[in-house]
Amino acid sequence: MGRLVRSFVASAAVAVGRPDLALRIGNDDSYARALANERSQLLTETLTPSAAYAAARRRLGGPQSMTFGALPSGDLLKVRRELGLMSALILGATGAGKSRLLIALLLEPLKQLIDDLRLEPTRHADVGVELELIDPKFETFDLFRKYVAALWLDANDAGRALLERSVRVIDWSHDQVTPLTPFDNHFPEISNAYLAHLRADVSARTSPQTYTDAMRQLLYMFDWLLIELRYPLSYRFAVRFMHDAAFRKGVLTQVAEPEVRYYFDNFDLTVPRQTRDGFLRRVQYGTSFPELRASYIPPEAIDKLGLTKEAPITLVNTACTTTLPQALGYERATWRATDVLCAAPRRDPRRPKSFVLEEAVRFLEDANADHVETLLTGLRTLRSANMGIVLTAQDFSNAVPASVVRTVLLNTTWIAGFRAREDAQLFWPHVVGVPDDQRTESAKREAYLKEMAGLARQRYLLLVKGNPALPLRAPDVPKPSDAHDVSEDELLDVFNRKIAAKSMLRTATAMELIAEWEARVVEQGESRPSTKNAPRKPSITSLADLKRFFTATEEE
Amino acid sequence: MKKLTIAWHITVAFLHVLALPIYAAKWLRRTMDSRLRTSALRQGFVDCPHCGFRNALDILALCRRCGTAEFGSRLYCTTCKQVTTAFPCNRCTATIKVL
Repeated sequence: MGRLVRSFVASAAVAVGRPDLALRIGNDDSYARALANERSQLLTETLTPSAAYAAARRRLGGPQSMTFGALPSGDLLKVRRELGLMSALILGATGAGKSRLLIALLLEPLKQLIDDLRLEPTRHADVGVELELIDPKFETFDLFRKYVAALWLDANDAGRALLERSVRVIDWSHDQVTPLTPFDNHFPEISNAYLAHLRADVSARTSPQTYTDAMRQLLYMFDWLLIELRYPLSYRFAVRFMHDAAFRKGVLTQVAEPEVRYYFDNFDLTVPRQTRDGFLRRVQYGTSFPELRASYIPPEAIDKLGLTKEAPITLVNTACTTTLPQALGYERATWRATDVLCAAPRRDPRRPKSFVLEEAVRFLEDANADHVETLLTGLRTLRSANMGIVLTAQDFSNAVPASVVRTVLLNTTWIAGFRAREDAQLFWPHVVGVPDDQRTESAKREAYLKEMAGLARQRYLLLVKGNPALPLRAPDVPKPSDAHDVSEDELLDVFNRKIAAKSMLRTATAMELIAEWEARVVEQGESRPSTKNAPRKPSITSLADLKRFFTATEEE
Repeated sequence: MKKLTIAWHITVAFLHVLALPIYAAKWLRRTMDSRLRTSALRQGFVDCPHCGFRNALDILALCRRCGTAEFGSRLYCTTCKQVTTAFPCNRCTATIKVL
């Protein structure tokens, strides 16, 4: 009887628009049923690995899914895009398959888009997922560009146009370079002083040379000066500015910031000569490599070149190769990462973005660095800007300070673990064991660690928060050259001509632009064009003036 | 003036009395309708109209608003009093409207 009354009251509550009352009335029953439901699941499902994996697979699926690989049962694990693009960590030894997994995940939406355009070429299409890939080890960058070239070959005209306008390359090679403007402040909310601090902090921390307090201060003030003037980093400019008092005075008249003017006005008194010479040696080292020097093009010259400055997909190669020493590559990677993170809060959150930082260990090893703090803050907060940060690392648990490890683990949504030893321990609490395994806990753990240390290529454990660790086989990524029967060199040629050329320029052209700027600003000491000091042309107030004006032109 | 006010109140009361059976009938009809809809609440499960999968309504539920995890109805959070009228099917992820 009481049950009937309660049921009628609940219906009445829903009828009058108070479903909460109805749910509150049935709260005790709900509690008992929920307990029973969960217990029955515990007893029947989660004890066997296959049931746990099947349940997790159901939970992770959803719209616009990304294929993470295949479960031991052969079923594909598809994770809904919203979850797949959240911040993540990919761990494992070299050659274990980290890069291939990344490529498979990042290329899938792009491939889909190109296929759609082939079916419907007239539709307006834009890259659905933005990507920033910073690769200090070259491999992922190299693979990705070859796949993009293969996609370009595969695409129709609309698809090719989309790829050409959507991909930007930041690279420095013997033949062509991407202009770099670290001392051009294009952030509306970041002051020149703070940008100078960010740049100087990175340079001092990444440099193999030591920076004393005085030298660090000089670096900071010099960076600030360049930002104020919108000048590129130039050894010739630095030498003349520091040794030629008259030149310095002329340059400082163009600086609006009094703090910078005051510091350099009293330069001879406050900065010892040894510090100045040491600083110049560091500037010389940083700009002595031709490909690097070629990238420091004056920002005003870049404005006229019409190169792609920002694009939805940016591929950055900062690998230590034959052109780039490791420390300088790391400096550039960190500058770029800082720029991406500083720009992230202002981005359009309607389009998701994935920021991939390869070999993140080197980036995260100094817990006191400003860029590490910026990255950790980004991991915590950038979900609101619809941006996920993906870090890949080797020996992450040992090589990174414990506080950083803790923050990264807390703020990543999924972790993929390839062949590894120490890092495998992160997954152990989430591994689903076989129910009738009679071994002791430590024996099971030891066997698991051994298995992880010898895991085959492409095999990995995926841990999505709130789910068990899922053993997967990463998707197969065939060689980019196989699909089109073209060599890798041909793919690179296509990529360089059709895509990279939009954001890079020839090294020789870059050198000419720099030489031109140095001849004008450093050698001749020309100040920036100022309308205030330009001689005014005589105004025409009478017929005689007009006659004089025309005769003068003819004489000229 | 006072007589006018009294007459106005009497008219309003009379109109309410006239409307009462209509509202009562309407309310009764809505109650019967909602009784059908709340049958899922009584039974504790709802079958997905798209794939037919039987979804339990009473589980270890996580409130999407305040984050409270509790055993009870997935449609109601006892902490922040949030009422959810629909949820995604556990198998096909299509939205199932319950209330």
